[in-house]
Amino acid sequence: MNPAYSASRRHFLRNTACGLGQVALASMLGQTAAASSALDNPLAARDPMIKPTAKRVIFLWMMGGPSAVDTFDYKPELQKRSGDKVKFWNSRYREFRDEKVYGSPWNFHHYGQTGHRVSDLFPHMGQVVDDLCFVQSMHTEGVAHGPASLFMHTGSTNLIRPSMGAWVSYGLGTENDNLPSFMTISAPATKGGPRLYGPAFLPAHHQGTMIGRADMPAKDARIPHLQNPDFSMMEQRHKLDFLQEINQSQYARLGKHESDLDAVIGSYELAFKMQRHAPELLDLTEESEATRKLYGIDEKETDDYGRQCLMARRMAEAGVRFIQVNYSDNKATPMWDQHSKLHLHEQHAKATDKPVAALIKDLKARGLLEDTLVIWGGEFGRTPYSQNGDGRDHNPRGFTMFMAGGGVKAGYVHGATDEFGFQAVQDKVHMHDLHATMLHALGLDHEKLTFRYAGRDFRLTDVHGRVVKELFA
Amino acid sequence: MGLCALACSHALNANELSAEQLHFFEERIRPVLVTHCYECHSVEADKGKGGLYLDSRLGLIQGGDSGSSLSLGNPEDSLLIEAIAYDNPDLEMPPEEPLPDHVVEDFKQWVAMGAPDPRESTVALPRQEGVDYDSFRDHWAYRPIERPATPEVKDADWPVSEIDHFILARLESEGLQPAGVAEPGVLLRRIFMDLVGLPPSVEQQKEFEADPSEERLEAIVDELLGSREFGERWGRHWLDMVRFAESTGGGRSMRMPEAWRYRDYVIRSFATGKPLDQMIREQIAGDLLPYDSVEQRREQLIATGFLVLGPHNYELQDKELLRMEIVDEQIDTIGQAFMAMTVGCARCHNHMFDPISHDDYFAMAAILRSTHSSEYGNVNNWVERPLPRDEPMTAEQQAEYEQWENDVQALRDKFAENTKGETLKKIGGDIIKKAIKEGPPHHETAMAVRDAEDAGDYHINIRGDVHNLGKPVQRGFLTIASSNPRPEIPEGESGRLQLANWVVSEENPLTSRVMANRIWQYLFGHGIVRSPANFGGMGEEPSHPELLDWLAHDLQQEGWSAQAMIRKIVLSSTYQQSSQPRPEALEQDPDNFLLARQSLRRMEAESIRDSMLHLAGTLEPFEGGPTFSSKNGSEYNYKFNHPVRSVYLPVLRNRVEGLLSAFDFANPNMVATDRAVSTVPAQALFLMNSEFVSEQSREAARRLLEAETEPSDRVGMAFREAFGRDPEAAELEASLAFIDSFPRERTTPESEVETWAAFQQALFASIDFRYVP
Repeated sequence: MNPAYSASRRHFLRNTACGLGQVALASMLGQTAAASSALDNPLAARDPMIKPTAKRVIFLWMMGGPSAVDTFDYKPELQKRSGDKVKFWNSRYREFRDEKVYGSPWNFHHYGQTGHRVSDLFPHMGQVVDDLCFVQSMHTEGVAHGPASLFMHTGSTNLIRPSMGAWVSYGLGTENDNLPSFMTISAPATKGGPRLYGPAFLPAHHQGTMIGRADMPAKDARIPHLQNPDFSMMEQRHKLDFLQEINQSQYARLGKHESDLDAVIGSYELAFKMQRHAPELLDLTEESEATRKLYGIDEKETDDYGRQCLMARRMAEAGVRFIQVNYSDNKATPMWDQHSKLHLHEQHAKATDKPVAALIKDLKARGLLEDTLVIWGGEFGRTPYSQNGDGRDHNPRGFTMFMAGGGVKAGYVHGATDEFGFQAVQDKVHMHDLHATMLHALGLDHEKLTFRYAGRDFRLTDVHGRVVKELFA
Repeated sequence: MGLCALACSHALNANELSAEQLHFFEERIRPVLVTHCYECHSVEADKGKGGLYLDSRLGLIQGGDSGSSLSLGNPEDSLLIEAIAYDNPDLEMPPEEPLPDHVVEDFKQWVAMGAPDPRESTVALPRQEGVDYDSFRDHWAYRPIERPATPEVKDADWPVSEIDHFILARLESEGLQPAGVAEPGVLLRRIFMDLVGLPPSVEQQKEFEADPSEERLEAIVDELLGSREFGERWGRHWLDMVRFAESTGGGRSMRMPEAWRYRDYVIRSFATGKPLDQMIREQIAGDLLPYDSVEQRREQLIATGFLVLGPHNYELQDKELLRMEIVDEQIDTIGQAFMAMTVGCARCHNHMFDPISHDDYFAMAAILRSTHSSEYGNVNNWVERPLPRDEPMTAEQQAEYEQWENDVQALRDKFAENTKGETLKKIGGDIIKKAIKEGPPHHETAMAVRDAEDAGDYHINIRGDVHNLGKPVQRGFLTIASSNPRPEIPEGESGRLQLANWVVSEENPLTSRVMANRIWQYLFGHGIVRSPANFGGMGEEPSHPELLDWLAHDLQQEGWSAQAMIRKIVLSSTYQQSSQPRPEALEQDPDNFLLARQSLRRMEAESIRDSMLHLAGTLEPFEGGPTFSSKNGSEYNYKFNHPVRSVYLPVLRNRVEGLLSAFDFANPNMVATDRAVSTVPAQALFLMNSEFVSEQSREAARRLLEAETEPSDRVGMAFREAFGRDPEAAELEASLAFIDSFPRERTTPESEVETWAAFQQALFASIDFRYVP
C-alpha cells in the first residue's frame, strides 16, 4: 500500500467526528444500540414514551386470509347446522343474503393446560397454545385483498399512509447501529406491494429493507447491492479508502458546516460494515442442526418459511426493531385465499405450522420471547358459509389473530364471534385497536406518535384505536 | 333558535316526570348510558364523537352529525335504537360489542314512552361553527397580489435585477452582506444542472472560463431555456407535483399504457414555453376547451390525464366510496399542487386551521363527482378516450368505428337502467373490456375525463362518510380565494371549466404565488415559502413576502412564462452567489433563509443517473413515445434497462428504478413538491456495488483510456467531466497513488479498464459529483 496514502487515511480517522475505525471493528450481531450514536444516525434508538413490555415485533403475515373457523375458532353450531341456509351480511354487495353454512372439514382437539381447541391443520402450534394470546374477535376494513392488506399494514384501505413498521422505526429507532430498524422478509409485489413496508411521508430511512421477495426461495434472500461481483473485498476497501480521501478533501473545501456531507462520509462506512456483517445475519449455516430441524429447514414443505422464521429470530437477536415475515406470493388469489377447494388450506398449514411453532419455542428458550411481541394473522378471515361449493369468501367482520410474548398474557383468549364464527360480537377488536395495542406494548402512545405532514398530525390509528389493556399480563 | 325551539317543545322538566318514568330512566337507562356511551359522547369526557353528546336530554334530541338520535315515541324511527340494535352495519354502537337484547328492549320501551329524561344540560353543547372568513383575510397567502415597490439598498453596485434589491435590502437590515460571486466553472455547472440536469462538456467549460462575460452567460442561458432538455428537466418537476405514474398502485396495481402521453405533453409544454396558466387550465378542463386544430384538441384531451393518473385501489368493493375517494384524491392534488391548500382536510369537518369549510370541500367535490374519471366494474378502470385523427378514415374504417361507438353506448345505456350492484359490476366489466381493453378501432386513446351523465350539485358527506348524506351543497370553489364562490353552472355541465378558470384567475391570489415559489425553490433548493404545498396556517411564512408578491405579479404580467421567470432569477446576483457562506451569515442564519449565499444542493436522482450515462457516453437519445412494449406484465419483474434520460423511465407505483428509488425520487403516490434529501447506506451500497454504476464506470473508464495516454491527463479529464474542475495537487497525487497501488495486476487491457473503472466509480460516488455547490 502506498505510504502517503496510509498516512492520510490515519489522518482522516483521527479527524472525523465519526470514530469510524472503532465502529468498524465492533461485531454486528449482538451489538446493541445506545452507546454509539457518534454518527448522527437518524435511526438512533429513542426512548419509549411509556413503560414498554416489548422491545421489538415479529409480524407473521398470512397473506390471503386463513379461515378462523377451520383453525383456532371452534364453533359447534357451525358443524351442527352445516348445509342450512342462513342470512348473512354480504360486505361486497352491502346487503343481507341467504348463504349455505359450511362446517369445517377438520377436527379440533384440546391442547395444553389451557385446553384451547386447535384444528388438525395446526398440530405444532397446538403444542404452544399455552404461550399464545388469541384475539378471536378481530374485525377490519376492506373486503378485497389490496384494501384489507393496506389497512392491516398502514391503517388505511386507500390513502397513502406509512406502514406500521415505519411508524415503529420512527418511534423507537434501531437497537443495532449496523442494521436497518425495519426489515421485511419475502414481501409480495402485489396487494399494496411496497406500500406495505413503505414510509409514505415519514423520512425515507424508516422504509422497510427488503430481504428477498415473494416467489423467490428464501435460501436466496439477500440485501440488494451488498456485494460487488467485480471486486474482491480488498479491492473494495481500497476503493472505499480512496473515495473517503477525496470525500474528505471535498468536504473540507465545501465547508464543514454542511452536516449533510458528514453524513455522506458516514454512510459509506456504515455501508461497508453492512457488507461485512449483514451476510452473517442471513447465514443460517451457523445454526445448530437441532435448530435447523426444529424450524423444518431442508424439509420440502417447510424449508422456505422455516428459513424466514429463523432469519427473523436472528434479526430479533441482533436488535432489528420490526421484523415482518411474509407468507405471501404475487398471485391474484394469494396463498390462503381459498374461494374454492378449501382443502388447500392444508398445504399452507403444512408450510407454516412447524416454522411458526418453532419460532415461538426458540424465542422462548433463548429468553427472547419476553421482550419480543409476535403477531400472527391474515388481512381478514373467511366466511363460515361456502362459496363455489367448497370454498370460503373473504370475511373482514370476524376472525382470529394471535400474539405471543412481549408482555401479553400467555394462554389467554380474548373476545368471541357469533355462533357461526361470522361476526365478532364480544370484546370486539378492530385492526386500529390492534395497532394501538402493538404500539402500547412497545411503549408508544398511539395518540401521541404523530408526524406532521401537509398541515396535519398523522397517526397510524388515524382518529381511532383503543389499547386492548385486557391482553396484558 | 331552531335548536332551542326544538328542545323547548319537548321540555319535560324533571318535575313533570312521573315517579315511574324517573325510576325507569334511573334504573334501566342511565346506567347503560354512563357505562357504555359517555366515554365517547359526553361533555364531561370532552368527547362528542360524530358530534353526538348523550349526557343530556338536549344532546340526545339534538343528535349528532347524522341527525337527531330520537324520534320520540317511535323506537323504529330512532337512530339510537338502530345503532344499539346493530341493525345498520355502518352504525353499530357500542362499537366493541352489542348490548344484551333485554337492554335494547328497555331502550325501545323508553323511547316509546317519550324518552323521559331528567338530565338538563347546563352547558352549551359544542357545535361545529361556520368559518369566519374575514378573520383570515390578512393572512399573507390570501391577500390580493399587488406589485410591491422595489426597496432601496445601500450597496447600489450589487443588484443587477429587482430581485436583488429585495434580497439585499433584507440582508442590509440584518447587518449582513452577500457571499462572493461563484467561480465561473461552479456557476456554469450550477446553471446546467438547474436548467437541463446534465453537466457542461469540457469544451463548454473552457469556453466559458475564457469568456465569463454577462453576454456570454445570457446566450448560454437562452440556449438552455430553448432546449428539449429544459423541458425534460422542468417537466419532471411538474410530474413530481402531479403524482405522475404509469400504474395504479393500490392493491391490484395495473399498468397504464397510455400515461406516457401525459408525460410527453408536460415535457413538450415546458420545452415550447406554454404558459403555466394555460397548462393548468388544460389539465383540469382541456376536454371542455375550444380548439382550432386536431393537434390542439389532442393536446387538450391528453392534458386531462392529470385527473385520471392518481393512485387508486380500483378493486375497492364499495363503489360509492371508491368514487368519492377518487374525487378526494383529485381535490387534494388540485389543492396542494396548484394552490398549496390542504383542501382534503375538510372532507370530514371544517378545516382545523385554514378557512376551508366542509361546504367548500363538497362544493369542489360535487364538480369532480360530476366528472367521469373511472369506469365501474368489479375492479374499476381509469377512463380512456379516443383521440381525433390527423388523417380521415376510409368509409370502411368509419363504419367500424361507429359500430364500436354504438356498442359502447348501448352498454352505457344498459348500465344506466340497472341498479343492482352485481349486475352493474358485470355490465361495467363489459364496458371496460369494449372501451378500454379492446379500445376504439383505428384510433389512439388517451387517459382523459369527460363530464358525467349525472352531473349536478351534491350533498355533504357527514363526517366524510359517503353513505351518510347531509345537506345539499351548490358546486363551487374555495370561498376565501374567490369573489363568487358559488358560480352559475349550466345544466348538464360538471363545472370543471369554471373551476379551471378560477384556479388561474386574477381573483385567486394563491396559484401565481405557488408557481413563483416553486420556480424559486428549484433554483435555490428552498422556496421563499418552505412549505411549497401548504400556504395555510400550518405552513411556513415566506422569508421575503414582498419578493414573493413581486414574482407572482411579474409571472402574471409576463404571461405566466416559466422561462421568463427562470431567466430573470438565474441572471440575478442573488442566484450567482457562491455557496460559501461568510462566517457572520453562517452564524446568524445557518439555514440560509436570508440568502446571503447560494445553497449547496444534492443532485436529484435523475441528474445523478443521467449524468453518469452522459459521461459514460451511453445515453441514448429518446424524445418520448410509449413506455411499455405491452399493456400487461408484472411491475415486479420490469427491467429498467433503457439507457435514456430518467424522465422517460416508466414510473411504476409499486416499483421505482433502483437508483431513483435510492436517491429520494418523488413518491408517485402523492403530491411531491419537496423531495426528501436523505443520506442512507443504501445509497452508498448502490453507488459502490450496483451493476448499473459499475457498468457506467467501466464505459467512462474506456473513454478516459481512449482519449488520454498519460495517467495524470486521464485523472484530469475525469475530474473535469465529473466535477467541472481540475484536480488539486493533492487529489491528483492521491488518484495516481490509487491507480498504482490498486491490488490488481494490470497486465491486460481489461484489467487496466477495471482499475480505471474503480477510480471512476469512486468519483461517481464522491461528494463533488453528488452535490452542486
